[in-house]
Amino acid sequence: MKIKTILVGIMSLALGSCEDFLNIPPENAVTPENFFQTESDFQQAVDGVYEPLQDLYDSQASWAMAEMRSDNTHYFYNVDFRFPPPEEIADFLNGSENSVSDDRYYANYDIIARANQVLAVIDEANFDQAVKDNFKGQVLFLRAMAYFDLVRFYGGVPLHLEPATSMESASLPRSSEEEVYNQIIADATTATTLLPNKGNQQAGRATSGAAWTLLGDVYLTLEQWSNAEDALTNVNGYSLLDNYALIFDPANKNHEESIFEIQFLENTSLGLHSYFPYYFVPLTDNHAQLTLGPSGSQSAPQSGWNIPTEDLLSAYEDPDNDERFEASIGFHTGPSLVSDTSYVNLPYIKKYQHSHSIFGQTNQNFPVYRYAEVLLMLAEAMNEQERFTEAQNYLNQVRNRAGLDNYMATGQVDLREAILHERRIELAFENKRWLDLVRTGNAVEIMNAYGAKLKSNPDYYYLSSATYTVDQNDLLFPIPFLEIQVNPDLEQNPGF
Amino acid sequence: MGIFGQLLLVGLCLAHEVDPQKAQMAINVSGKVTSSSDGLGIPAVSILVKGTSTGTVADLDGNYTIDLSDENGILVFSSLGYATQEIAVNGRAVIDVVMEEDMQGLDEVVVVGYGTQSTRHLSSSVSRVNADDFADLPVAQFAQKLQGKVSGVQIAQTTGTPGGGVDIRIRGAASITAGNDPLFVVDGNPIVGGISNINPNEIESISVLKDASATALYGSRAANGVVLIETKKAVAGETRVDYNAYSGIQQVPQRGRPDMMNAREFATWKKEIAEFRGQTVHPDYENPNEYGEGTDWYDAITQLAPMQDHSLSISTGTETFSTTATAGYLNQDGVILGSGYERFSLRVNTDFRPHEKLNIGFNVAPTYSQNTNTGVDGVGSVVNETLQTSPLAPLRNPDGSLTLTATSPGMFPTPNYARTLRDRVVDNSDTRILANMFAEYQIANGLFIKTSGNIDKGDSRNFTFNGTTTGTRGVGLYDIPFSSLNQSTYLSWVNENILNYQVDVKGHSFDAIIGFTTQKFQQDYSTINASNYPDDKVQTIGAAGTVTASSDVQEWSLLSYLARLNYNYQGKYLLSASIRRDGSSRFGAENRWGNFPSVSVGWILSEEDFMPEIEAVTFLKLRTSYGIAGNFNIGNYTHIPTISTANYVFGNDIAAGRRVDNLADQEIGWESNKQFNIGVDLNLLNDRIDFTYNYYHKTTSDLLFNVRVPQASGFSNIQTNIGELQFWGHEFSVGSSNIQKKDFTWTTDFNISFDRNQVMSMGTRTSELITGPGSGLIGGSHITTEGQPIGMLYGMIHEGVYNNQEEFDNSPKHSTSQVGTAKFRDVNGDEVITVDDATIIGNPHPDFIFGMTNRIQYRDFDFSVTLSGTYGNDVLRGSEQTLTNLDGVFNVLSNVKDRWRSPEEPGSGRYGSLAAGTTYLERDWWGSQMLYDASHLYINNITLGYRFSLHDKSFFRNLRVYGSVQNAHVFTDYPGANPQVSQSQASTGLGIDGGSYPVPRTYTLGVNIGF
Repeated sequence: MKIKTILVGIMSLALGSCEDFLNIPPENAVTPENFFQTESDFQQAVDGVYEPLQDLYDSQASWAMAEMRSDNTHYFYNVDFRFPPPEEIADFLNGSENSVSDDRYYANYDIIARANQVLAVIDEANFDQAVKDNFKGQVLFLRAMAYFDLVRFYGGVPLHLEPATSMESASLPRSSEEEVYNQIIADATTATTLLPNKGNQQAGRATSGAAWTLLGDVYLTLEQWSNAEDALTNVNGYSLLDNYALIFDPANKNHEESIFEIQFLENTSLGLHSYFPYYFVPLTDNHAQLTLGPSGSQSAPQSGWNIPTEDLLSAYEDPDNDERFEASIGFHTGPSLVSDTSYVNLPYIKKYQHSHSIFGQTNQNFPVYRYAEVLLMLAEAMNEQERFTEAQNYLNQVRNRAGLDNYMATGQVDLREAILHERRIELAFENKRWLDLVRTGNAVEIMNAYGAKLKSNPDYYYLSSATYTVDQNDLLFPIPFLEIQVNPDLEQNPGF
Repeated sequence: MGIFGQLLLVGLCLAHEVDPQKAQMAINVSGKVTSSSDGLGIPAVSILVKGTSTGTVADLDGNYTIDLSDENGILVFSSLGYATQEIAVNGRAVIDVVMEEDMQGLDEVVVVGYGTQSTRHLSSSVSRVNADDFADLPVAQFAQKLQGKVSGVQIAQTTGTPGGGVDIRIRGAASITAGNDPLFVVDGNPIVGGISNINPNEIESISVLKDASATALYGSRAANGVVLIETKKAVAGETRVDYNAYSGIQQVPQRGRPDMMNAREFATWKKEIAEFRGQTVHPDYENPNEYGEGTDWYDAITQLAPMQDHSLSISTGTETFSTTATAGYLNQDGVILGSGYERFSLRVNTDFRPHEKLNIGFNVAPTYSQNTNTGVDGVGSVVNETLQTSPLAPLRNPDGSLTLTATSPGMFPTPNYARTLRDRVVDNSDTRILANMFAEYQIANGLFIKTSGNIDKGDSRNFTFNGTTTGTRGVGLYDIPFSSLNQSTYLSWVNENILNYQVDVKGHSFDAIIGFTTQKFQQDYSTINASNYPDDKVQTIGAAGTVTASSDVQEWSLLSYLARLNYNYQGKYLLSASIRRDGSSRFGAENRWGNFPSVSVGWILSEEDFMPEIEAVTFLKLRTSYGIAGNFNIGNYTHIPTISTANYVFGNDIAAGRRVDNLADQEIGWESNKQFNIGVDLNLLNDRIDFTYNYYHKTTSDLLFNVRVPQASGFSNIQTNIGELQFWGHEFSVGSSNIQKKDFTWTTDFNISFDRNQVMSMGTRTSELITGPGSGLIGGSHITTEGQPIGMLYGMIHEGVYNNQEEFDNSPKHSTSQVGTAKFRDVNGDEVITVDDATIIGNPHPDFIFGMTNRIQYRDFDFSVTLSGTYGNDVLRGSEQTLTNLDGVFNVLSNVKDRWRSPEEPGSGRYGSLAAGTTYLERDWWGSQMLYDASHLYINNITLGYRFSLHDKSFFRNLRVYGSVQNAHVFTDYPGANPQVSQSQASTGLGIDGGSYPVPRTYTLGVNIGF
């Protein structure tokens, strides 16, 4: 009797609240049950889609694969310290285990997965349609931009359009390049209709102008010239800044020439600053003189990359009058932390160096699209449609701003070359060059010739004979080895 | 509802339920307990009234007296080394008892889950170790003391870090991602914090529960075995004071010290690199012969380190009250400069018996420990990086002060690590309280109810300040000071309510329990990183220019019901059956509850009449068991998809973004572990030899498994139930009294275990899992794949170098290969060397493990030696990635001299050419070039003691002095310092030597004094 009383007492106390006792949601995280409901929830989810852009554009992958892979830049050979992944990309020795080329793949898919989460549920939510359209437009733009980046660097990739929920739905096979491009065009086109223009959108967010520019770039890449023209002529409300150097000044973020730029901010304690300008200065005992920030010491893999090549320096047709030369490139003379080395007039990228208050934390945005490029894309689209006067007109707007005279020559071939050359100078270090070489079919020829030149120069003694043997297979980067390891349906690109 | 509410309730219930006792004839019984062998009194015999918790203890001469409420009660006399006797009082006032010696202690009572049982009647597999067996070993953790003493338990001292570094694995326990640590239970309290800050001097005995029949009562946490720790309890009797202390010195053994290039060799090496690469030789290296030995940096950061341990315990008691208190102090300096561990501990165990049917206990054990061990162990630690420092760089300035940096031309900037270790401020502390309270009440004859409340509470605080005179490799000195502060506090409470009924009916003996328990755990963490200090002067967080902070809260709860029946018939047919039902917050609602049943049977053949009377066989028992245990070691919220912050910026405005950050499997459930065990216990030659054998077979299915998924999904992995593992093994242990004379005894205990495991199915899309701390280039250092043991070492097969052009032309190669560079095997036969050629290169699991202890007693001297070892396991010495780095930026092992120089001088084949741009494959592709057999035999301990013969009237009750050597020697072919090393304790990451803290040899002198 008594025992029973005791036991029943104890048991009922415990059992009464038994399932409650075992329900413990995490205290410091939101769960989907109470998220994806309100406008504010979706606002946060949309902003979260932008976040991986910082990883992507502040990473070594951004410049190593798009700039240092080309004839524009190289690395400063540090005999003391070898960090192979970016070097292998520059020298065409990269394999599928290259950690730098993997980063680009992962960051883009991060954007895509977050976009898919929003798109999967936003239609069911209940809030203002205009706001909802704006959100969807931004997310579609970001997804299109991510797939556009992937398809150009890796070819046809797995096309994830729904959130993954299981091991199976996380492991898709590759789609064809055509399928990926169709999705990009669909997303970007929808985005142009849903997004407000720059005047009606918070600075830094995707706009209809950005979506039209992206669409123009996509059509240009696909050589659909009149579609490109139609898209690009819809990019309205932008103008060139008078001074080329001011385009990159953090005091001037999201200025009237800027169409889409990756946003960074210093002094936040949330890690929202950028770092990339530090990669571009040589390894010295006094970084402050070049980064224009406070002093501090730098370790070997963090500096000495993306060094402008002799080839690029000599490509400036009139360095004295072209204000882009002075604005873009600096020269450094002084002692080096690399043994047996001192710097004599070593070129480095200067256009991103601006003052900041904490060592290693810059306030520098990264330009993705700006109006000068729209003009150059229009010039290209016109030239390919044999509308040479219009093409020259667009080209010369860009040249004149830089302090150069009009381009006068005629003939489609010459003009095509002039436009590509102008892109190389105007958009130097904006991670366009490698893709331009690939897109225009020049990569194999130009890079082999450039490599042969380097290898014959005793300063580049460290380049083995295997370097710069470029063929069609090198136009794409390998799918990350670690992805293929867990997904046997993924086929590697040829040559890797 | 909190624990206090529940306890209060139970307390009230009990208070209410205590009835006035029915009158019985009380009696006082006294007498003397003597030994059958010499007729002398046996001290400290425990005397218990059967079926109650009333009892007393005989004095030093064996005299006792006890008050009984019932003149027809039964007294149970027990003492270690003697057969337990039950004697009916039958109204007698004087009962003298003669006890038979029982060397093997087969009637010993062993602690099992939620109770005790006599070893004789045990049908499951439990190993027991008494405090006496390890008392002298001068080590900080009790787990180290168990090395070599328990069959089926592998205990590896993976590092010599003061106060830490022990890996315990019962029966080869392994899980892919759900952990392999056993559950530790201290006085019935399943603890959540570590065991490292428990003072070994507080421990009375340790039971290792191995088979499912023994562990299943711990249900969802029992898959890796259970270790029950009982602390010293007071007994009624005289006041006793014991003081135990030792003091010693620790030293890094000569064997295994890395043989680095000296100054002359290093300068030669740097000169040759420049010449080989066609660079100018730096003037510092032009004349290597002008240098001598240079600085031995390993020597510079190691030291002789003192160690001392003091323990004072006082025990006293009467029939209604007894208490024992143990205070301990341990101070262990590190053999690496700057490291060390200090522990203050106290334990007070008190029993009240206000009524003969009521027993109330309060046990409380606070400990405070501190250490300065940050950054001294593992990859990237000073131990490894110091070796890479230039031997040309001086340790001290001409004025005798330590230099700041230690770099030579063409090397990474490197601080003087001796200086960094001295100047870095490390302040780590832990405060821990283990407490439990229980009340046990005898409701009726043989029927008890016990309720207990247990608390495990811990606070830790780790602070490190890196000032401008400290630094790290690759950076040199830190220009700007920074610090970090990690704090965590946790509380775990457990409430247990157990009803126990024991009855003997005509040869049928029943012992049954039912109960229910609740446990809840909460932990708060915070991490503060502070940087941009203006200088080194003020080091508090507030002085930093930039401070970032993060915090986390982790909680779980567990609700359980349990029942067990132990039954035997005539003391020879044994049966035990148990079940536990667990509900855990860590699983989704569908799979929250799990059932964990077990059954075991035993048969004592030697009791049967049909057994022929063989003189030699004194005891023979067969037993077998089967049961299911679980594993719930996954994250606390794995089944819940969570949303975390993902901030961005628009213009100069911060945008607070969010994202879904994990791919959650809402159906995730228990990992289940089915185990079969069969065993034999055999005693021979009048119990002078005892022998135990066990065979087990475990199947772990529904593995809790964090599977990597393609990152194209936006996620990197999913925690799910997948795949199956099998384990099986044989365990033998033998104890032998080789010589048993009055003045001379010699005993030997030996055990050996063969543990195997195999992955039966994986369920991942590629049926393989790459893990481990190794090279990121090939995804890791370990592979788990079907048909193989879990976590095999994985990498490239190194086949030497391309000795000459002809060999180069005719061999598969990598895009960066040249004549003279490392040559790897083309495993997949595609004629090129790529990461796809990585394969299984070694096995980190031993073929067998063994241990042996010999004890010799001659007159007043005692001598013991403990050995342990493993055979057949491989270690991948990952630290060679830097210790043999051909880039010329580090100092390297002196045998790198035997590298490839030209087709005419190809060297040993282990080290390739120095050509620029070719060295990284050899360096970064981990492979068989770094693989070694780590079989070893350790002489863990040698102790020689002398016990003074004392007069009866002596001031001392006991006085012994001893000297011991811990980690006396290791026999092994492994070239590194510690063949037991494993940087990771995960089953899928074993056997990597990333450059660990050396395990010191310790010489000590100690005393045991009793008053």
